[in-house]
Amino acid sequence: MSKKLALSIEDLHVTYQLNGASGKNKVARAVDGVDLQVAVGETLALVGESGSGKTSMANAIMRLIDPSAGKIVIDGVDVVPLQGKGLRSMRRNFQMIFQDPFESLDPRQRVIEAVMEPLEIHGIGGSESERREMALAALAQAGLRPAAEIGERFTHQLSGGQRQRVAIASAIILKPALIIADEPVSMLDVSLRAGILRVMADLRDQLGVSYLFITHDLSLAWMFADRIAVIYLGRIVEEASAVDLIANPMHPYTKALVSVIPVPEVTALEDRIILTGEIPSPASIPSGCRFHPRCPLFRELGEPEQCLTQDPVLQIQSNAESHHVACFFSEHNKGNQ
Amino acid sequence: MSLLEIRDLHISYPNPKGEFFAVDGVDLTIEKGEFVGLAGESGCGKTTLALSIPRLLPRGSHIGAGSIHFNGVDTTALSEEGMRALRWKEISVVFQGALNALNPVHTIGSQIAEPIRIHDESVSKKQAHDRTLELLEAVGIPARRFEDFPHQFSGGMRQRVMIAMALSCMPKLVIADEPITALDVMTQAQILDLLRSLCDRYSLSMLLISHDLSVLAQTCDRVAVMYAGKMAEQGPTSRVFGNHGAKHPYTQRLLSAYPNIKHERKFIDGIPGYPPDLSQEQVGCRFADRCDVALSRCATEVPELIDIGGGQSVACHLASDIRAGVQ
Repeated sequence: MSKKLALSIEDLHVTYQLNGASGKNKVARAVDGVDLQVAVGETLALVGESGSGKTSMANAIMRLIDPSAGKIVIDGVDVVPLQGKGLRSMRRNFQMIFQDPFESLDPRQRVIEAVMEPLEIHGIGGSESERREMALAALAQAGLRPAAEIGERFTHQLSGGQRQRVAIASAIILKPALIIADEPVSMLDVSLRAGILRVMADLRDQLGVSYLFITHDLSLAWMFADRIAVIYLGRIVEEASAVDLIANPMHPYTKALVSVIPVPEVTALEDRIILTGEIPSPASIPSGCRFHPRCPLFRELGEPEQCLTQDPVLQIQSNAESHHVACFFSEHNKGNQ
Repeated sequence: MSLLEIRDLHISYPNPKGEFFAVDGVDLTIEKGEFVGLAGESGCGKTTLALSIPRLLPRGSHIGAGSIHFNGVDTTALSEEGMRALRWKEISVVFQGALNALNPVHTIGSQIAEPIRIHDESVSKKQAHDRTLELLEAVGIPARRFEDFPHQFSGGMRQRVMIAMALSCMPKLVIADEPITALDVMTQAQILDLLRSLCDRYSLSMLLISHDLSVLAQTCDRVAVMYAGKMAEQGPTSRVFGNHGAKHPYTQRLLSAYPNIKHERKFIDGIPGYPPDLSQEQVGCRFADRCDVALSRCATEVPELIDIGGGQSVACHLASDIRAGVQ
């Protein structure tokens, strides 16, 4: 691979041991063999429904939970074997923006303190006043102006949008190679979303920040990301450039998801593919292709044996550059959008 | 006669600064069998307006001027007892957050059956049971799940239970308060389809509250957009979201805040600034500060909701120009 990678995930597995009457000795395979790469300065959106494993992925990358297998290479270093001090010093390289800015900030802290804290933890900046300068610059970069004035407020005095900007400022102050943004705007009012995403986009353009943008919202992913990876039951089922994935979805699951994206205009409802049922439990992943019980194409093709017995791997499509699909029959979905 | 006719409604809450005028002179009409969407951002007054219909507002709230005519009766004049007779039998609610609204220690079957017998004492246990099975079928829950508890259901299935409960007494109007907010896109599509089909099947009137305009575009007959306690615009979905288009600058800005995959990819727009503080007295148009086409009169004169034809009305000083075909 010629381009420099901010993040490279190889065959990642995250499992949870289930206890209790119904799930004795059962193992939930939340992330079940995922490979992903994010180039420096690139934004990859990881899109999935709840229960798809996207949050487990984020938590594993942040090393908030231990993966059961696989590699997570951030800026050239595999962080999976790291522990204690080694992990802590590496942490400045990958930061996270959480979904809920009301939960992720300490209400008793002043804004400036919240942003300076990562610097103190990592021993960056020679003096208090130097750290303060850095924090003010980060606040201004996150669009909180006048930074000096807002810095003196307590975080609980800020609106949701402002708080999310504080979270962004604390994330970028360490100049990480990778920022994981887990639904960064889903709690905010629609009119505020653009402002937050614009700040994130500016940081990408100016500082070359790389993002793993985790969301359930395909249209937002399409707008913001360079590439999109769709995750279903712990496995990436399709990955392509954002524009290509929406214009030409090839996995039957992606095709259905794209068909139900709400658009702010009157559209023909007949074109929608509404899947029945819900995503199964990661403790009982269906045999063969894990999507087959809900797959419209599987039924349309008369329930082929292959889908029931073989697990499809993510493969590059012959006539589409860097468009990967994990489906035996994705050719059927080509061109009949 | 319309099923619901709200005229010039005012609702306020006490707050430390005095009073907070959450709904400040709002009109809303819903016809029999009509599916109406009510949109707006947090704090715009949409939930207050909707919950004033079954009078389920929080303690301390005050309905000032205005009227709410339901089936020809002004409910603001009704006693608490009179109101109770309407609740659930005539007007029911699907609440936001299905997990918190269900009782964890009762089966879902018994929770759906409960209101049936409370609101009509002549119904036998057997009849209530049969009716519950019918309702489960109608909302797409297998009958065998009658004895299951709420925690055994997914978010989408719980929302179906809530819908079954709301339908249990065959109401004329169902108010759904952000019923799909916490759900995944596919589940959202399932629930919206269900609401739409129930509305058609039982000739129900539906008021669907959502902060998400794009969701309403595909489900509702008509849409109403609120801003800062006032109705900004309302009209048939086919006009507001169609070629004719939204005419209030706020609705227009709100629509451009959503990505639209049917068009060229471009960055979404935001709306700079914040809504006004509704505990202060408002002068002029409430959106004027954030509006990029505001005229000088917008700062001083309150725009009335004006009918611009085709069932669409707009509260904007530019609306008369729109009507005259200037724009």
